[in-house]
Amino acid sequence: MTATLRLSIRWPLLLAALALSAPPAAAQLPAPPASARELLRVGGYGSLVFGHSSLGSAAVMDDLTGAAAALLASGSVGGRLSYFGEIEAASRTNENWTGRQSDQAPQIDRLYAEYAFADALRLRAGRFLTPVGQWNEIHADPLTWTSLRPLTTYRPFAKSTTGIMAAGQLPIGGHDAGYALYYAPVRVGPTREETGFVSAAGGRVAVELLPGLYLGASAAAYRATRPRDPEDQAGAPSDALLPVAARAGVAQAGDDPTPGSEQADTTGDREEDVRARRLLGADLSWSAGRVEVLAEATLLSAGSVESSERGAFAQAAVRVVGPLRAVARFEAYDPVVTGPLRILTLGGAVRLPHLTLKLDRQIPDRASARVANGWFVSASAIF
Amino acid sequence: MVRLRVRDLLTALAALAAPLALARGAAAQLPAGAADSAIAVVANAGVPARALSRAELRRIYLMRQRYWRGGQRVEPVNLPAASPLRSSFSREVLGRSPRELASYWNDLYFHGTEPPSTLDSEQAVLLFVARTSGALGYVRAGTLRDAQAPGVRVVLVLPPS
Repeated sequence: MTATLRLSIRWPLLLAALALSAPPAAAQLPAPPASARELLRVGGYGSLVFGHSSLGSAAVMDDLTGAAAALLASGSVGGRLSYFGEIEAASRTNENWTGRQSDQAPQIDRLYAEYAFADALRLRAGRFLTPVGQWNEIHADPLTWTSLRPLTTYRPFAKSTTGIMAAGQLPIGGHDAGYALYYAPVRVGPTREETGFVSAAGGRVAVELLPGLYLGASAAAYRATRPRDPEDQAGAPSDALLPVAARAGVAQAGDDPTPGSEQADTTGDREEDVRARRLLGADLSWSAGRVEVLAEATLLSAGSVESSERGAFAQAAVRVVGPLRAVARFEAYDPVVTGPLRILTLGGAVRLPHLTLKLDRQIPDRASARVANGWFVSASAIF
Repeated sequence: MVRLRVRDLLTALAALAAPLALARGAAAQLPAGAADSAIAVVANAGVPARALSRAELRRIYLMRQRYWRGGQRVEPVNLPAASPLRSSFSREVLGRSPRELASYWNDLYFHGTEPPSTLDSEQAVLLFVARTSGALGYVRAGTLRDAQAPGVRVVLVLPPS
């Protein structure tokens, strides 16, 4: 009670501090560079998410489910060589396959160097956001319309990938199009993500069919680790998963070995895919006048019906008045531990030049230990 | 020896005269009946493109095309977001107002791409474009007629909206 009271007093103070730290409204866009050849540009964002929600049959909890700050640094040298880095320090309550857990680890989301041979060909090396759908590559809290991400945008793939990428943009048949192809042969460091790639290869294409209307398609093949599912029968891994520690034995049995994989994850609470998985994705976004629509779908398979997962969501944000948007999203994900789950999210968002405030009501169609049922309010600032 | 010196002198004179010719040429490239309020898109005289299509201009100003055909980097410049000329240009070429493009630039910012640089005035744009290799900007046709703008080339004229 005391803790709740203390939190409720602190909460407006935190919001006020966040609002006051935002730059003045006149600088609506991120400050443009004096030159495209700036050596260093620094920016970032921060966010706070407060929840009044329950997981499964658990009691309703009031808690600060997320407090994150990310620092971005980028620059270019000589017009063709550039770099980008994003490090996020977060204290976040995640609801993943193992239920609600706290995650306080700082994480490098991006750190890469890129050389542009031409608009149609850029080569990138390092850690980058996995190009699946549109949400993951934007992902920053101030740029999204809801406090929580749809499962489809993070459950079936790793948020970041380490490897090499070829990407480019070019006009095709009068339409602007872009592509990205990547190869990530090794896992770097332990991960707390829902899905952590051990190795991956894939690509994405996107086309602007009409001004404001984008269609995209993604594909990937990967091996990955995931948090162990405590609801799995007797705690034993499924036919497609093995504890990371047992991975070496599997490799000796003739499966395609992944060098170093058994040492890379030291948490001991994750399982690794024995079989390679294939991911297909499609996405659409459309913005015109007062309306913004975003839809994404993924299909994850490992060659058998039992181990396939599919998810999709459609979201609409409609400008009601001034900076106020009404937001509605429907998502279906199958399976979520024991079966399909449908999640309705209704809310509102106010996007000011450097500050975004959101209020969401997330409603799963059944009690789930995987997706919270409740209210979420968040404030995020970009600088 | 003397002949060489004369040739050097002629070359230097030609180099000095070229920007003036280009300036006269830039204004002369405007259509005869072009209103002063038409938007003249101007590029540095050294860029390989003699003319730009609206589609190319849109790609450049949305930072989707960053290099000229010869491999030179495009350096697009904008007027301030509050400028009426920028609003007209933005609606005419990009299909949206500067305010409506805010979320587009925020999204690109998270891909490591910044919007075009901003300059305070049309005169500053002409000066920047004339002096900067690969630069591209826009001014009112009337401004171009009145200004001494050596080293710029008109690559597209947009009628008044």
